[in-house]
Amino acid sequence: MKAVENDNLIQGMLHEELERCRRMLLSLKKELTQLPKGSLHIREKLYKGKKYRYHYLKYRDGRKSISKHVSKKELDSLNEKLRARQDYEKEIKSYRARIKYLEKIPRVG
Amino acid sequence: MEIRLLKRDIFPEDIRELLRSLYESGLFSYGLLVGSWVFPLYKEAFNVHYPLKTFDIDFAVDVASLRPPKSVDLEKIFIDLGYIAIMDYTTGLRKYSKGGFEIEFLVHRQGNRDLDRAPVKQLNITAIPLPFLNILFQLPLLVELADFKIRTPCPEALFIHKLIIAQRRNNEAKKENDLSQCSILIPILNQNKLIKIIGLLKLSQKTWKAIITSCAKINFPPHLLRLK
Repeated sequence: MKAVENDNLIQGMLHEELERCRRMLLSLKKELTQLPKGSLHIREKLYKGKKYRYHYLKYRDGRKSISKHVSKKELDSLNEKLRARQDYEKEIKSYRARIKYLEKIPRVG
Repeated sequence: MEIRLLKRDIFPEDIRELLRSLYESGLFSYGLLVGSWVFPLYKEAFNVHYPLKTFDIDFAVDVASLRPPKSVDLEKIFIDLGYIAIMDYTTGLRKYSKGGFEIEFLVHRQGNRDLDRAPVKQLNITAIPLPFLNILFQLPLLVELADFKIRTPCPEALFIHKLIIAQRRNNEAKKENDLSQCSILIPILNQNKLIKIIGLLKLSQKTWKAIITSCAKINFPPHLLRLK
């Protein structure tokens, strides 16, 4: 393979990779919109000498901090979704870092 | 054909783990490792060096050999390995990704149907239907690694497949990549196997022409494929 051909080939492949990363990032962002954001907290309350534990989801909506009660029934499913959200966010970071790197390469980005 | 490669570091550890899990699931009895990740195997087995590898790994599945009793949840295997499932909203394909590395499945597309995806329910995956993928299943190589086996196309099948698809690409970089992979394979091609595979194919006139055009681009004499 000649050096010039080789260079074109590598550039083309890097460009393809950049496009793939952009597509994946878009899909990941869409997946995120379907998952709840925030973190789970426990609040303890004393009522007539008895201690009660409540779970609530805390998240920000713009400047507002919101606390939303979570029933026992919803707890497992919500926990799973919050963990999934963390996994998706981690994956988004990987793709963002790669896009940033590829965009810096002349004639690729 | 079966070959034995006992070197442990042919693949990075993450990919090794993925391939081992897929072997344990039985994928390689009806599927093949395809795409650029075949070349580390070829390097070890045939001493051909193609350094470019992509950040995705492709597997071809022969749906016809998947009989109803065979049912494997591949998605669960990937999730257990730390991959996450992502819906590609443009194609409806379900993909798997970990640290920016992606797993994709391909199936043979018959005829000229313009399908974006093919669900393979027995495996709980969706695959990309592509024409000529059946060629890769001709005379496959069974590669025995240190503690598992994988199946992959033989160089001759991959060579013929790439000759065809190179001329169908709209993307120049991919076309160039196909042809440079073909060039690299030339020294290790077995003439008898080439003829045998060519003899098994039923192709249109247009496709034979595509093979001849690719042969000319890489200076491969078409008469070695019994073509004029």
